[in-house]
Amino acid sequence: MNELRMIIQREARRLLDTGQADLIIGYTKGPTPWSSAPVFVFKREDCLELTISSFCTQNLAVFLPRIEARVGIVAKPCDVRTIVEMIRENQIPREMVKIISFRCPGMLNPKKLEEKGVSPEVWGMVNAKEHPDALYDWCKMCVWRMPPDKDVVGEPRFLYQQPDYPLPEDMSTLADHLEKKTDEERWEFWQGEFARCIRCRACMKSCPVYYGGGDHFDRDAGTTGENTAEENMKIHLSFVYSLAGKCTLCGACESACPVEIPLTALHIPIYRYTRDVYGYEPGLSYTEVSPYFVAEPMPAGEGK
Amino acid sequence: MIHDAVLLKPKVKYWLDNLLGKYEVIAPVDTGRMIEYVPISRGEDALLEFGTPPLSPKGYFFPKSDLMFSTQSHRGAVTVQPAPIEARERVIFGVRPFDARALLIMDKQLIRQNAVDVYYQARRQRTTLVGIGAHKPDVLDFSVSAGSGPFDEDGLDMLFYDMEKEFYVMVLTEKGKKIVDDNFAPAEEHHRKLAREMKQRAEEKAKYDLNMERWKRYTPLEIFQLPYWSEVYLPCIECGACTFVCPTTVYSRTVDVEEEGGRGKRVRVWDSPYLERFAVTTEGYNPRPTLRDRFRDWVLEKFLFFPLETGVLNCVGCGRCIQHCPTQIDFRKIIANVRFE
Repeated sequence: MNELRMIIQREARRLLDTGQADLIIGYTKGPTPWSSAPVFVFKREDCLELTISSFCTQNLAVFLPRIEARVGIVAKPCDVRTIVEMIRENQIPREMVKIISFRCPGMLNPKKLEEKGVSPEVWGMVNAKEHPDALYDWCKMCVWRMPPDKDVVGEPRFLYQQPDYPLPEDMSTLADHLEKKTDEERWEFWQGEFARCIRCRACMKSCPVYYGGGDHFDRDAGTTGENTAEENMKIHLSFVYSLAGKCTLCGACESACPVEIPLTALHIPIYRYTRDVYGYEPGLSYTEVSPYFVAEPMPAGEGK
Repeated sequence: MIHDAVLLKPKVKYWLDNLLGKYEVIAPVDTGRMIEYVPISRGEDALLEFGTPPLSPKGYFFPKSDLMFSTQSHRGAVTVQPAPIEARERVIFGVRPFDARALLIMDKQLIRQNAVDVYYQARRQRTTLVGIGAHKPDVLDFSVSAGSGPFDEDGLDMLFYDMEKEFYVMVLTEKGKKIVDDNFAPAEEHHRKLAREMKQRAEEKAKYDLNMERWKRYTPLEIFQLPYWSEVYLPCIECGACTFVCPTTVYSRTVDVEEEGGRGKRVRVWDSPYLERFAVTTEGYNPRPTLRDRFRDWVLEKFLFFPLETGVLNCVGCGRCIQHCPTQIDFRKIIANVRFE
């Protein structure tokens, strides 16, 4: 990880020096040893703040639409894929973004490390090679761990890349456990999870490819605005389903949740279904189109 | 303090079981994915050792979805039924001392001279708060610097000191005295000495220099207009996580729900000033149109405007806003590093 940090800093300096970027968005140390925070770097000397750890769970692409400058962005391969999706949907101009990416070892869940008894002082240093059993669910099943070409102006080329370290035997995710349950049990499980929701919108606001922003928490769109398990479930299901064929399983939504609602256990089955039935995985290219995207030809004379 | 006592840890569940006959008991419980304050039915369910739970017991006084009144319309006539005021006495066990202080700050906002939230007031009156001191403060705990502390006694009815095999118990109010039973034994001098040391050690850790003396040299308007606020909000993604996990914040909004059969209700739900629609008037005017305005408003409400009005910070330093921020914005740093230029 230390080596990776140097590479990221060097690349950031190069982008700023050559004028290819006006600012760099990257990760810096968070307030605790097991967290990271976004940082906006405008000056060459501030590049020293940039770092990388096993706890960089945020997807920084979420900041791109509000920035009107040339940006260099530190992105995990799954984040790069969301950037591809955003460019495809005209959220950001292609030539404004420069990617600083890396071969991702996978992000670790501090909670699981704590259960294993890994002490807080060394958390900032640990990596997935030593604790593969503490990987997040979505990182366990990730096979796109290599970044594409340096930027996403041309057609990106992602390489199928499994982790370069031995994985633990038990690779099952929460989604797998839920699949084995009956419909009633699953319903009960999700009722319990969504009863806890405090409607903070952290999940929706930390997703770069979701543009609803959580406004449907208010009265419109068929919800009453009350905070009950049913209403919360409606809202979150609309969030999850609208991301079908767009979600790259970066996990930013689940790791943002203050009350630990396992949202990716909803995203993962949809992702798998799309992959296995349609052979489509989001964010890997500009030319392939999501099977859920229906483009009907405009009637003549309209839409000009 | 009225008196003190000692309660052996294995006896806590018997004591709680005794209380369950008379009171509703709410305690921290590990519900599988996080530690929550939930009503318990057996004393043994209550956790005795835990960190800072993500949500404070605030929801038991100011629920995230709170019925105000229900209506029934019949042939053009509408009857309004105010929400009932529950009367059952309850005990919340395992409150962190700074969360009890937070309730005192909520009192200042919800029980004002000419505007009393009667539901909130009733809930406060029927609740006995039993605190457990945070003898191992969380890394982000800065409660001492925010005017509270890991062993703050204000607002609590009882305070427990964790001494490995037993709890040293301070009974602080008459309400607390009422729930003492024969499971408690008299405390001795070495308990008191140990408690004093424990409190001192914990308070050393729960500090962060907020550097707020400098604020006194400037007028509120000058602070409000600092260009600094246009920089620090950048990593904010406009969710409301910090507001909703905050134990002192009481922003709310009302929604009207139409139900079948001519029934309806008005419900008060939590709101956050970070959300774009916050405080937008019916004619569409938004007093805080940009994210910078909304971010600055929340921070300054806590550390400038509320103190001007009441003399205390609208913050108890629990550190939840930092811990649960999706982008890990360090509000301590933002306050400590204000640039006055």
